[in-house]
Amino acid sequence: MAQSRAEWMAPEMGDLSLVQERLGAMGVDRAPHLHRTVTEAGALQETAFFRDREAFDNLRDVLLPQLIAANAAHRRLRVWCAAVSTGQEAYSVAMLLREHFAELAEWDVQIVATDLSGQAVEYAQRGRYRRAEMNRGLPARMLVKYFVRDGEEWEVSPRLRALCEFRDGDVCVPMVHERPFDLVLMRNVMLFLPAQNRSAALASVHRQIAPEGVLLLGHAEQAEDSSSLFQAEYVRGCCFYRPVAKG
Amino acid sequence: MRAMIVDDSRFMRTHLRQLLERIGVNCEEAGDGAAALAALRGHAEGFDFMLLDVNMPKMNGLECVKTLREAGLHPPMKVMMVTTESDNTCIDSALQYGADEFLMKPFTAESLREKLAMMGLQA
Repeated sequence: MAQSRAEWMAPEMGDLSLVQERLGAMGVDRAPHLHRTVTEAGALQETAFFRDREAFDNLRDVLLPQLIAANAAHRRLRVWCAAVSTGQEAYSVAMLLREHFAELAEWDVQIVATDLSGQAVEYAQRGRYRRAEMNRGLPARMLVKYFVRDGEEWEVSPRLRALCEFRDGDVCVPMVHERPFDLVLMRNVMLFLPAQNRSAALASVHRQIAPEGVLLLGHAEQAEDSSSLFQAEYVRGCCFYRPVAKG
Repeated sequence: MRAMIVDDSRFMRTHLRQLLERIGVNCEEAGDGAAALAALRGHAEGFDFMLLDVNMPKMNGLECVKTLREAGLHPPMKVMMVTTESDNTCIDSALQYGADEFLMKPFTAESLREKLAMMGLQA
């Protein structure tokens, strides 16, 4: 009953914090599956290849070279794309790594990409994109190099796919038995979470990020209410976060 | 900014002009590759970018970009192919001949703006 009411509310309300509040008022605040349904129903799936080019430029020019130098001894790099939607962000990171960091060919590189929506994860795993998606943010040079045309779609090449692993996952719930992540992209997620879930998401990232790791949020997001967990640093005017040492 | 729109479809030229003028770009038009090259040769100021269809009479877009790059006409001008052609071979040829980007029809105003930004053109 409560679930169907929530499903009825979600599309209309748009503001997830309001939906969560209503759920609380309905006495269903201890039903995680219901909150998941609501969040999934209301979550935006707006994404594009190389969305926010400045962030990718900073990754290429500054942050990834630093992370690669820091991990040179054990030659391992782990990236987490949280709330990855239909996968374009994960494949963009894979292209960036393949294109600009040839030395990683001999490394253990893994991009773990999660999303709350099972449908989005399935779509990302297929790695097949339509014309409208290929027109968004993907340089023509990359299209030719990393995608194969198949009918009306383009399929991600095996060498990109090999780097990416897509899973169902809630940003607020830490994954089990995971090695720490060196780079976490959780972009344009916090904007759509109510305050308590923003804190839970940042706490979850803090538990899973490597001590020298880097967290990137969307350009309109700040981790201001989690200053005990993350410290802001700046590259060319863009903000990124390092974890405060775990106590 | 100034743009040259090259397409044999009057509808598409008008559509592109409307989108570009809305973001402050001044446009000139040509109906095929040969007319575009003639216009470029007679134009002292040049253009910041050219939007170039592939399938056109007289001279197609691939020949046009190849010719204008080989002739060194307005070298700083960016060229973006805007076409229904979408085979990887065609995209690759356009890049080899000197095109900077490729936008597949149909496209949205947003994807056009994004592609212009990717070429360093912020209107």
